[in-house]
Formats: sequence, C-alpha cells, structure tokens
Amino acid sequence: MAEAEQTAKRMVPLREGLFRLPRGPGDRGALLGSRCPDCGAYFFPRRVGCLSCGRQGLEDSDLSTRGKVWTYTIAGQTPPGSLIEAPYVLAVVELPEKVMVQSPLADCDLDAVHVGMDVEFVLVKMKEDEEGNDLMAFKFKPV
Amino acid sequence: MSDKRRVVILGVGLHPFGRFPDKPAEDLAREAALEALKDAGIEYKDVQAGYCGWVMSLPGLGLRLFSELGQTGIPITNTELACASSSRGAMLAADAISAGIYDMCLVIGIEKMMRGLIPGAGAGGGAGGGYQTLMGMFLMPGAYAMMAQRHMHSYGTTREQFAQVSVKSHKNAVHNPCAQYRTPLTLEEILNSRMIADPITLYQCCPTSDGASAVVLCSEEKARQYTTRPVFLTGWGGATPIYSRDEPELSEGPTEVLAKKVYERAGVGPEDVNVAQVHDAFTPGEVLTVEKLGFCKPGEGGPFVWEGNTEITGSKPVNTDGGLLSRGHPMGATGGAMIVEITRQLRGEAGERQVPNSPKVGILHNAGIGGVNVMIFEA
Repeated sequence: MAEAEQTAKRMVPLREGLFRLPRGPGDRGALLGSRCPDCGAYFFPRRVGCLSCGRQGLEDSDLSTRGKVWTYTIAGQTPPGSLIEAPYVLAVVELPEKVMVQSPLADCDLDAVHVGMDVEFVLVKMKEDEEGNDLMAFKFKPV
Repeated sequence: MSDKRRVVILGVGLHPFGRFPDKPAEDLAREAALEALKDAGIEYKDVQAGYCGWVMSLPGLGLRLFSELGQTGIPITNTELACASSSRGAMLAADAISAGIYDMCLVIGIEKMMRGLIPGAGAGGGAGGGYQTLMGMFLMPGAYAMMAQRHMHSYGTTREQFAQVSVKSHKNAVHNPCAQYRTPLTLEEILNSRMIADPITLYQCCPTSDGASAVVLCSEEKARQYTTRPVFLTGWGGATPIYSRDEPELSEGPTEVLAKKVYERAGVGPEDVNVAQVHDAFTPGEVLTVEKLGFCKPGEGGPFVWEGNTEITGSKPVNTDGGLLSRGHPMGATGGAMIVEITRQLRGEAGERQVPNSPKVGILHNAGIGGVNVMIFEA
C-alpha cells in the first residue's frame, strides 16, 4: 500500500532542451548543443541553421563540461523574477568547441572570479514542482 | 550616391525628458512636433510622410500621435529598434527623400515609461517567467557590465575612467533645460552609488523617462525655400550583429564596421568630426564607442575620456547635452533627441553647451536591442 502511494522524487529540467540529466553513475549530464556536419561549427542553444556556413539541419551534440570564463559581472541587485538572489556572478563561459554560454556561477567567491578562470558544468536544484520533483538548472562552478 | 538628392535636417523639436505622469503621449508628441514644424518654418500640411519611433505601446501609436497635428492621409510608419527607434525612423525618411519619393518628412520619437528595471525581452513563456528570467540572466545592464569587465581585463581600463563619463554627462546637462537630471555629481558620488552590475553603479545607468523628440527632414532643393544655412545629413547606415566563432558580440551591433561605411558615404573621417552623440545608456558605452568611431585607438577609450577629450571644450565633444545618462532616455525619443542636439550644435544654437569654433561635422551613434545606427551631419 505504502509503495503504491509513494511518489518517486525525480529530477526534472527547469526547461527542456538546454541540457540533459545524468544517465547513470559517472555521468554528470551535459549541455545540449548543435554541430554543423558541413563546417564543424558548434552552437548553444540548439538551432536548425548554421550561422557559419548556412546549412539547414544540424546534428545534436553534447558539449564539453569544462570551460573558461571569457567575461563576467557581479549582479548587485536581483532582477525581477529571478530565483537567484544578488549578489551572484553572471558569466560568459567559453567552451573548447568555441561556443560561448551565458551562465550564473555556483559556489563562486566574488573576490576570486576573473577572466580566464577554469569552470565546470554542474546541475543545481532550483526549486520543487507541485509533485515534489526537483526542478534542475545548469550552472558552472570554479574547478 | 551621386545621383541621389541630398537630405537636410530642416527643423527640430523636443519635449523635456523626465517624469510627466499626468501628460499623455499625445501631449508630449504634439509639443515636440509643433516646435519642429515651427523651427522648420512649415505647416503640418506640408509633410508628405510620417515616421514614429516608439517601443512599448499599443499598435497604431504613430497614427494617434500624428492625428494631434492633422489628418491629411499621409503614410505613417511605426519604427521600433528599442533605444534606436527614432534614429531609424529618420534614416528611413532620409532613404525616401534621397530617392526622390518625398520632399518633406516628419519623424516623431516618443516614450512613456515606468520606473525601475525593464523586464527582459522573452521574459514570458510559462508561469513565473522563462528560463533566463528565472536564472537571473536578464540582468540590466549585464551585457554592458560584461563588456566593461572584458575591457578592464584586456586594456587595464579603470572604474574611475568609466565613471568619469557620468561626471561629464551630469555637468553638461546643467546647461540643458530639457534634461531630466541637471545637478552635477562628483566622481566619488558616482563610484559610491549602489552597485547594479559590477563595475556599473546606479549613477552610471541612464534613467527611465517620459519624453518626445521631433525632426523635419527635407530635400535640399525644397530646403532652400526655408533656410540659407542648411544642416545636411550626409551619410547614414544601420547594422545588426555579425556572427563570429572567435568572439561573442555582446553589443548591439558592429559599430566599427558600420561607422567606416558611413564615414565613406559622408566623405569624411573621424579626424573631421567636431561633435558627437553616442549611446551612453551605461558609461562603458561611451568609452567603447569612442574607440569604434575611430576617435582613438582600440583600448585607449579609458584614458581618452579621462583626459577630457570628450568634454565640450575637448578635441571630440561627446553628448554635449548630457546624453542618455542625464538628458534621460525615453527609448523611442532618444534617437531624435540626438539629432536635435547635433543640429543645434552645427547651427551654433546650443547656448551655454555650444562647442566652440563653429563645429561643422557631427556624428551620431544610437544603439538598441535589435541594431545600431550611425548618422553623419555637416553644416
């Protein structure tokens, strides 16, 4: 009886299509990007048309989970509707595929953040939905 | 361009920028437009086409505003390019005049705004806002703050150099009766104001505002009936971001590439510019843009501003009326207000803000989420 009533608590992306959840032990999940089979350019978020060569129809590709901070700012006031409260770091992270990803940084000392800082992809729970599932988002955090 | 007709800025008008909660958009627009028509020496019935720059209102605003002046059946086009709406309206009018379609056009720029941060575009999509809203990514002025941090990293630009733009802006606006803020601020007051997005503090951000601007554009031949000292619009162009694998484009568009094209169309270079208006919604805007307009080398924008080159008495006076920072920023009206100030400077009508030694060439850089405009004027 208890088993039938028990709701399985699971992870659900806060928004579909930006990243995938871990598939098993040793997998931390990944950003979902697009790769152009003609010219090799990568894009995030996923898209249909290649901005580099114009090809329509791109392949899905997981993106690297490590990158470097290309630039950043520190938010001094919380923007309307944000679940993340100021102060926090908002960065543009450059991945090895030459893709730039805008992302808040997790677990980041405000005095330590700098251009060139090594960061890695991480999934964080933002809140729960009505069924008690964990709503997950991606961030990057200092390595 | 040689067989195209030259375009004249025949009349300009402004409603002061600030907070006018009891005045509807119709009143602001009508007052600015009547001033421009009077300045031009024409009547509304002489206008052959209208353009209305605005961002946040209901469809059909252009017709409602122009109807305050008359209902003559002319084509009226609404132009939206966020903060660059009315300069794009003026450019479309110039396109039509130079192609011989119209002789006389009126451009109205208008905005009425609420206080506080503007909700990000795309902030909808699902209860509680979209992903970027929820994750704090629609941070104003996030993009400018991130460009500033990158500039500090690459070139050693300092917080003081960015803040100096605001010192100059507030000082210039003391002499602008239409400006929203007309009190000087010290460098310390600006640096110590609340941090919004590092390194941009509160007094390094433009306000939200109500206001209206109006510009009458005319063909050269027709203008000779009304003035013996026309101010010409000699070159203009617009652009949107260009994809690059190597660098993200955090700004509104490729200003450097665009400016080169417009300089060529106008037949002048940065060395010829005597007065400028640039998009200083946030102080890094001026530091980065003086580089992109060729006033100084890349990376030298900080010292260029710090050493006073962009003061009214400097080598390249920028935002002589206070710019977006102090003049105010009713989004749809700002582009037109830039044209108004450049025109008054080139005519010698800027009073206590007048750039000395009869400035001849002016340049305007107006950016918005959606694109960037550059326009060059010559007396």
